[in-house]
Amino acid sequence: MSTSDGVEIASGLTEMIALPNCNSGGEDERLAAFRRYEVLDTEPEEAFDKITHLVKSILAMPMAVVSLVDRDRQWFKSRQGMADAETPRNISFCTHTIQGSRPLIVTDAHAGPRFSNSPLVVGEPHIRFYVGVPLRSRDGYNIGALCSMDTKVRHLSAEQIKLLEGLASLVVDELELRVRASTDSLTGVMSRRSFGEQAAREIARSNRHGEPLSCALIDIDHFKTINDTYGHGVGDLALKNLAKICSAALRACDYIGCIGGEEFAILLPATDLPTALEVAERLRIAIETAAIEAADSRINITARIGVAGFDTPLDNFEMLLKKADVAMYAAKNSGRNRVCCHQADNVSLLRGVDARSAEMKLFELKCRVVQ
Amino acid sequence: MTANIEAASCGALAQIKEDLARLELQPDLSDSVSQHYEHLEALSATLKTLGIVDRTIDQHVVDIFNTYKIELLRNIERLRNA
Repeated sequence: MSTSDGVEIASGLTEMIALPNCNSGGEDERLAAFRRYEVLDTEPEEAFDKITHLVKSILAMPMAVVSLVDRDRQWFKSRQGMADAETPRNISFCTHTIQGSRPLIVTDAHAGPRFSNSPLVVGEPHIRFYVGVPLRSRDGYNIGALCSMDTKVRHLSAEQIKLLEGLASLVVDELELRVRASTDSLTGVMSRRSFGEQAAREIARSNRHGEPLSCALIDIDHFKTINDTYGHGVGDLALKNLAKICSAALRACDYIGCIGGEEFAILLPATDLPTALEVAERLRIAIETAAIEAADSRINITARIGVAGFDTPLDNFEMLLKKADVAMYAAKNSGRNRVCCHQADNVSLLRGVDARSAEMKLFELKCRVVQ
Repeated sequence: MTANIEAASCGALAQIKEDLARLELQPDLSDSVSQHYEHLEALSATLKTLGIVDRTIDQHVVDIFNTYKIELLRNIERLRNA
């Protein structure tokens, strides 16, 4: 049945709800939005624990959690009455909650086929009643849920559900506050500090697992001329556009940061140098192709890109950045709108060619050597 | 009814508002903070409809704001040093 406040309630299982207010992007986009918060596997925090405690006490429920839904698991940033810190996503109730824009209520998990055989129902913690409210990022993606569970059948009033929705908003406030300081205010990508911290973590991970890691530095060609000719508003628009193009083209596990002025850095985990060059070349073309609509003119921008690989366990973020910077400088000197690669002591030039064939050419074609 | 709800816990919310007014918020943060304040107002009103007494509502609202404020101050400092 459906209550007057729009909350869908069924015996056993609430129907999956349409997503009128939810960002229609796919799972990769949702995961990218989720990763922006950098909250997975962090320590418990009082701010979130206070909220779950309030849920538990006011709704008189034995369990309340802030669940964040990753690709294959749900991880609890805060949990009251739940022993496990995470569960596989495919058995979670919250994976259903994030499909909708409104609260999901399962009044009796034993009643419907969808949940009755769930390990969380037939085993610990023996969930019988579930209510979850999506945690919606400011850009419209459901990254998790604030939820509460009981071991017996329950019915909540509209006011109680409203309370849970209000508390979910406060959870998002807390998450947003943490991400706010780590993003560049103009472009919305990571700040230099945040990018550096993430890069250090990825380098350590790459060292541990022996995986490749690449980095690209991107700089807009003739940015000063754009500012001087069209004004700083258009310059800002160019930066925002570049950030948007790059963010859209990258995988959920990649990172992009604004590391100063018109310079962006991209970190590509588990990516070797030839593949990173393919990515960089795709970005170069996308940047070159996109036009900026400014007042009564359309402006096309180009960018130079320097690519470097993480090739020894001694490399740290600054060294990686320096290598990419050397390659980017070579791209500037060789005519801009180019991708250059730092390899050992050499910088190889690549421009406007099929990236796959470029991979082959790259190591033969030492167009420029930088000391 | 609405007037009663607005009256509830207005002491805590007014105090929070004063507290926020004293902070030098960067434009980046001020929208988020305004939104948080609105969410606290809404929480206060919902708790009232659930029959929670004003004093307890004030405690909950202040409690949630205080932890938010700790992180907020950290952010102000970080942005200042960025």
